[in-house]
Amino acid sequence: MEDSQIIQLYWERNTDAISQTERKYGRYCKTIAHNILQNEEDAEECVNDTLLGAWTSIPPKHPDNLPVYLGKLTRNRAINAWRAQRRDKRGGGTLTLAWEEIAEIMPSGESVEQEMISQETVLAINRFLAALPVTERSVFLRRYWYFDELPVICERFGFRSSKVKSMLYRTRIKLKKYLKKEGFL
Amino acid sequence: MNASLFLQAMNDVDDAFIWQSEHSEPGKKDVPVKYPSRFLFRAIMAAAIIIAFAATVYGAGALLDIWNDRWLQTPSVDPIQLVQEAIDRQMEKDYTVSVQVEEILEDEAETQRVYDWAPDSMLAMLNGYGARPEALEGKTPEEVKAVYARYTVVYDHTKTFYRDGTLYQYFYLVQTTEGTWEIFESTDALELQTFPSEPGDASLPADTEASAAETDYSEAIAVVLEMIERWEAFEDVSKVTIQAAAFDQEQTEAALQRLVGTAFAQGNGWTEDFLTHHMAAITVTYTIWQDGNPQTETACYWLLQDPASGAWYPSEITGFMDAPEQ
Repeated sequence: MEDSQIIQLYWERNTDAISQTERKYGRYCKTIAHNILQNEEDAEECVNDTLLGAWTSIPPKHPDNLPVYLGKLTRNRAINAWRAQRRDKRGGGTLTLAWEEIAEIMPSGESVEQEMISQETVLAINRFLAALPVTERSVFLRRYWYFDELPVICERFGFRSSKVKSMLYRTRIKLKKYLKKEGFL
Repeated sequence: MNASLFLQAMNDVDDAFIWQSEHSEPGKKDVPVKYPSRFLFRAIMAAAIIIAFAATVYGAGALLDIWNDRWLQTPSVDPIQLVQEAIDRQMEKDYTVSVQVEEILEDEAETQRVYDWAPDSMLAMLNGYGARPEALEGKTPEEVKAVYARYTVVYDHTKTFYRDGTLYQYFYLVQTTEGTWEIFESTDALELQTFPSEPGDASLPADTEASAAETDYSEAIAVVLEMIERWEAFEDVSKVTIQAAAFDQEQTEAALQRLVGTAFAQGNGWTEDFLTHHMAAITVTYTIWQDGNPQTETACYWLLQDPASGAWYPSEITGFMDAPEQ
């Protein structure tokens, strides 16, 4: 079924929307959730939350890109779950590694900033990503949006581990310089 | 901003970027290109020319990516023996017909550069200058070794596309707590084509003994400019403009110091005299429009001159390196 037809089902409040979404994008969402939570049961629960989130948010939302919309819902929920696990000292996996990698270029510590993600911040990150060559940007997104493990990225792009590590390292350094220049660090 | 905030903010980045990265196909680059991207081209150029230095003079060396992450090794108390065995055990691959080690040498200068994780180590240049290899963590300088090897190999071409030839490769070893050595990394292996003559024996043009200051580098500069202008043929590059280009004495001397006396240079018969008179660094500033975004870069290209014909061949060292901010 086409995405536009699935979205139409949501707008018609037809519960087939959920089953069609799960059929088409359940695996995609589960991969994202699993990358972050590293647990089958937690990932499953997260995907269910995502489906519920889609049901309650469409309408009024009308996503231009349904899978990315679902992916964002999944990622957000999974990160929140990961945070809760981390507070309980249970967290681990790729998100922890990705977090540590980014933490190397960012000031440390938790703060009230957690609640202050402004549109300006997102726009700045978008500008940074837009300036990257396509491959570097995609590798960066695979690591810090999808939280793919390094071997998965290597396989996807056909790159050696050392190349992916090097590419990510260089991009993080560029990011640090950029955020400094823009006054975010 | 801290790491948590950043990763959370990433959630709302442009859908197009997210979807684009999702559509990068397994095992393939995600950008359809007319030619390999400029960066892939750079990497191949750097790999093919930096290590197989003589191949740039006498004919392009073919990149042969063998054994990376696939060494068959048995920890040994003797680092030379360890590398010797790793090469010999290439015979265990069903596509290898014969392999003969020509020379194995410890390279103290390269060892120090790798231990310091300097950007001009062969490992950093060829494999990408990223984070310091984890294998070096907690090691003393005495527990690290760079070993240079040259060997000749013949492959069964019904089973592999690898080309036969004499290969050059650096192996990087660390000593374990048991006192044995293990290979933790290597550079790519490169095939070196047959030399018409050793550089030191070549019939040199009459003016080759002129000092560097008297040498005309206009042809070397032209070679670099032509190479950069060709980037417009790449799919992701729409335009390139050049602001400045000049011979760089400082970079030339730095490259000279880096090479002279190394096992690599000695193995190729490159004397200090040869390198002094036939190597040049050209610094160039250009603006490149890649994926629609203009970016001004200053890069330094390292060239070698064929002493017989006087022609310059482009390489890339400084321009390819991207030293991290300290």
